[in-house]
Amino acid sequence: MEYVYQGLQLVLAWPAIGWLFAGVFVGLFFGATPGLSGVVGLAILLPFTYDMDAGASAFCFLLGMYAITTTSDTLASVLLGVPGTGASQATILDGYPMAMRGEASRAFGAAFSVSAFGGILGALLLGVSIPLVKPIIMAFASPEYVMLGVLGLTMVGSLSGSSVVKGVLSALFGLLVTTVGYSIQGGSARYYFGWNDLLEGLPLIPVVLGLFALPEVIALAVSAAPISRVPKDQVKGGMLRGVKDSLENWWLVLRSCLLGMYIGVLPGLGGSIVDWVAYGHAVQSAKDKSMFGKGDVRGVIAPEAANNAMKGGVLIPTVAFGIPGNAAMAIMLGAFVIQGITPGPQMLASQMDITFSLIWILVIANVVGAGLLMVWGNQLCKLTFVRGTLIVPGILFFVMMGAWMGNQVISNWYMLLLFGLIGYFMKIGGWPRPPMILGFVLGPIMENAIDVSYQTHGMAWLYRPIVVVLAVLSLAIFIGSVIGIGKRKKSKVEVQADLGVEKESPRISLAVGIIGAIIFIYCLAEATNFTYDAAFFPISICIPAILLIFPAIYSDFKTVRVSAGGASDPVNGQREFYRKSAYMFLIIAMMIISTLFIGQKITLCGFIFLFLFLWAREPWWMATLQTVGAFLILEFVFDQLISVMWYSPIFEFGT
Amino acid sequence: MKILKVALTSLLSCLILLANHAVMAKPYYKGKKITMLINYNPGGGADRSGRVIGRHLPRLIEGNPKIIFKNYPGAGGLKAINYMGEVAKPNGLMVTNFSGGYNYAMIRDPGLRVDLTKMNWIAGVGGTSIIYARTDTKPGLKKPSDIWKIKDPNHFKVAGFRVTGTKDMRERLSFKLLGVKHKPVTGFRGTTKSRTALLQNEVQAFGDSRAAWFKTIIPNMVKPGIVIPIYHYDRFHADGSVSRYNDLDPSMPTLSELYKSKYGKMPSGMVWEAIRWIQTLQGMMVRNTCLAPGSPKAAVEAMRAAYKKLAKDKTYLNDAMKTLGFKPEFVDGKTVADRLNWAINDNKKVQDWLMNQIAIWKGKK
Repeated sequence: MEYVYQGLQLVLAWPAIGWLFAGVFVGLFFGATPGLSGVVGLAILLPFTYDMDAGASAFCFLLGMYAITTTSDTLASVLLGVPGTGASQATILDGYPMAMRGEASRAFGAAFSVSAFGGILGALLLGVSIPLVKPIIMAFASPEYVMLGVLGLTMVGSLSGSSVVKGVLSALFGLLVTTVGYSIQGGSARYYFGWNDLLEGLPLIPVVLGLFALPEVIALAVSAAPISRVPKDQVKGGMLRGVKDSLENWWLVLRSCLLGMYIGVLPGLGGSIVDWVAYGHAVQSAKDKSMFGKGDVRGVIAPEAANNAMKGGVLIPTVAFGIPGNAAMAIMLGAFVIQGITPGPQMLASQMDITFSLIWILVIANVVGAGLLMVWGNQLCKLTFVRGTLIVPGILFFVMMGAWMGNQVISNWYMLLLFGLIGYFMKIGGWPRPPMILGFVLGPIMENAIDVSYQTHGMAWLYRPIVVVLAVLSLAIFIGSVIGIGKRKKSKVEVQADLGVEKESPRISLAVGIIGAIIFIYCLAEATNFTYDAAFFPISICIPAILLIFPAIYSDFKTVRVSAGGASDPVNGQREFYRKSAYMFLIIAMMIISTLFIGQKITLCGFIFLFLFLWAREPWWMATLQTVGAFLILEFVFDQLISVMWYSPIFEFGT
Repeated sequence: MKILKVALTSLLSCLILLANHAVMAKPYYKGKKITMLINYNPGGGADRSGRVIGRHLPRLIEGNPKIIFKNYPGAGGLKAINYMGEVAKPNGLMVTNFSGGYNYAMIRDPGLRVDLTKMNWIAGVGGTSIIYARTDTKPGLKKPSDIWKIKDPNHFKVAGFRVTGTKDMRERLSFKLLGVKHKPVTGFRGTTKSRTALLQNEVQAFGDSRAAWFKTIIPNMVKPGIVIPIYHYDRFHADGSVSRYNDLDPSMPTLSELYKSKYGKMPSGMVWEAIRWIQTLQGMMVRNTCLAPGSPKAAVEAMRAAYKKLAKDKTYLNDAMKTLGFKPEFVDGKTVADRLNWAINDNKKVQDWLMNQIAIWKGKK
């Protein structure tokens, strides 16, 4: 208890408490702005801690900022359908449909309250668990990671909507695209088509933004309607309703927190999958699944509780063993070193006050951050009632800058556009997109773990007790999901765990299937030229995919034939929508081409002005105002604060 | 009148000379802002070492310019290297603090698009790696020479990242040289996963940098008795001689000392040549600093002079000791350029042999 009190004293002492509040304010911004994240924030803030006094100031500043990013990231996920950070990808599945129903406030109320609860619980579990988790971490070696990946993939059943075959194929495609670039084992280059930018593999954020955000931005631009399809005066419930939702679902909140915390504990899993696993668990464990993907508040509660609880979890291996659980913790480890502290067992023995100060920082930051968001959230919700065309440039601006961050190469924008097209056609063809992201996130972890398991244990890795338990659990969950889908089909209840798919087009679905088949066959043929260790994973993906995709194609073909060659296909009635969508894709392509010539700043600002003035027919002053705002953000946030590496165009102005 | 004319002419000449001198003497970096480009993420070794340098360098560069930092990670540091060679303007205002990079030139990686020998090298910081192993490795390691008691390679698995990386190449070659039964396990995603695997006894040996050795491995693994050091890589000199790193415990042998203790002579042959080839560069440019190709001579000279002062600057060295755990040993830019040229252009035989070896490791031969 003495250490608990000493830890609190360290945090409450001046200037530490001041730095904590400063960190929380900065964290709100970094979480809410797509493309920025806790990791980017830590990277920017770390140098400011070099000269901070001993004590908890540096940790207050950094951890205070980091803790709150997965709370404020809900703003973009719910309001814009764009994940604020990588940890809130799953939140958009139900958060954005809630906003479309005019319930953004309710989603915020639920998300902020469970985020605060998750953050606090994660912190408390950190305190309690440090002595207990060592056996868990030590027990989960590469073979167990393989089976954790398999267990994660069983969520496909929950995320597949009405077609488990299409869900599995989508997941397999997600796994396959992770094999682009160097195989980590042998350094063999795979599927890179001589394009060096692909050697490192496909970047996560542009892929996610392309698959999910771009189709929504395009729909918003084309429809010109507000995000909310319900007028403001007809909206029922607000923040308090969301808080009530979270209290009613306390058992789900608790389970999600535990999932988040224990996934966080395992090094290398962390933030990118925790929200998906929690979301999948919420769908699997729900009795009534009919509203998932259409704005079920439980689809917001589960990932938001888990991603905040995860923050306590990732701190455990960092503090207890000096092993950073994810990229953010690697930066935090740097902060420890700068402060002259060596994380690990000796820190637990001799610097328990610092250890407990970390727990207090998480607790205070989560409470303060969630409180501030509760106050401000209602104001931001007004954005959902503004006409769509007015906010499209702003959203696209952040989508494109979000895709640029990280690698900061022009190929990120090519990928954004490519996966935007893939996401768009998957959406209207009724192919579920969430399983693809699940596969994309789990692919590298699984391929690596399979290879290392085989090298270290031979085939004996399959008989390890935890591996067997996880395998049985995975099988049971998968069978349960398939049976569940079968029952739902019989009772004609359709689950659509995807964004806004209202009417699927069998013809587009058929086209997606045929293109998918060509890709799988090509990749299988190409893989035969790789070395064994580089070929194993893609071949293991392509063979089942090819076996599954032809029945799916045949099923779509039958549907098209039954509908008289597609005469009743929903595509036919919405030709104007698709024509305008094509224009929007063309505009994005033109923006990329323009960047090659005149650079990003002029292109993005020019796009905002021209879109508002010519497409949206807004008055010139509105177009100018938004353009100036965008320029200031580019100049002061991305250029001065974040020091973004801009694309070097053919014609450079004013550099 | 004539005297006045002469006096005025002399005065004018003096003024012109003085003005000219003033222009000539104006430091190149006066009033300028330098960007330090770091090819890895913030918080890591390259970032920390760069930022410590950046805190002291401005006062040592003539003209006291400002320094800002840009992290440009990706493709194992390659993106920033290509950026420096292809995009960075040749004005001396972008200086690197890169980690590695030469390794891509060594294995002729298609991802490296620039000729490293054309960079304006300012300085390098040498380094070595310490190979350590679990003490409970069968039949139990108490001292470095116990590695020869290992009978089954499966009892001595060595963690690595990628066969084409300098780390993996060195470790595979050195255990081959020593004649130790071992099994390389490639594919760990970074030092974190490797150290975890070591703690989990999935692998029994791993190599880490000096900074990690002092700051992480000694307190968390050596003191609790989990691992012992086996050897560290020698410091290779241009004349072919070798020496040890003196800040490391004297009981920890270098690779050549360990070899000699078993075989009674200095190592030789192609395997040793390949290790020497790799470690020569590793030993002088684990962290490396250059200006873009074509940068002004004045900028190169000013920067080289500043790094020369930095290498002896007590305030900087103390700061580095606190932040990094050791005092960096700098190699001047000219030496870096010479040795890099030697490694890349004058060692085709060793390079070809190693490329062939890599193909065997990859299973292509």
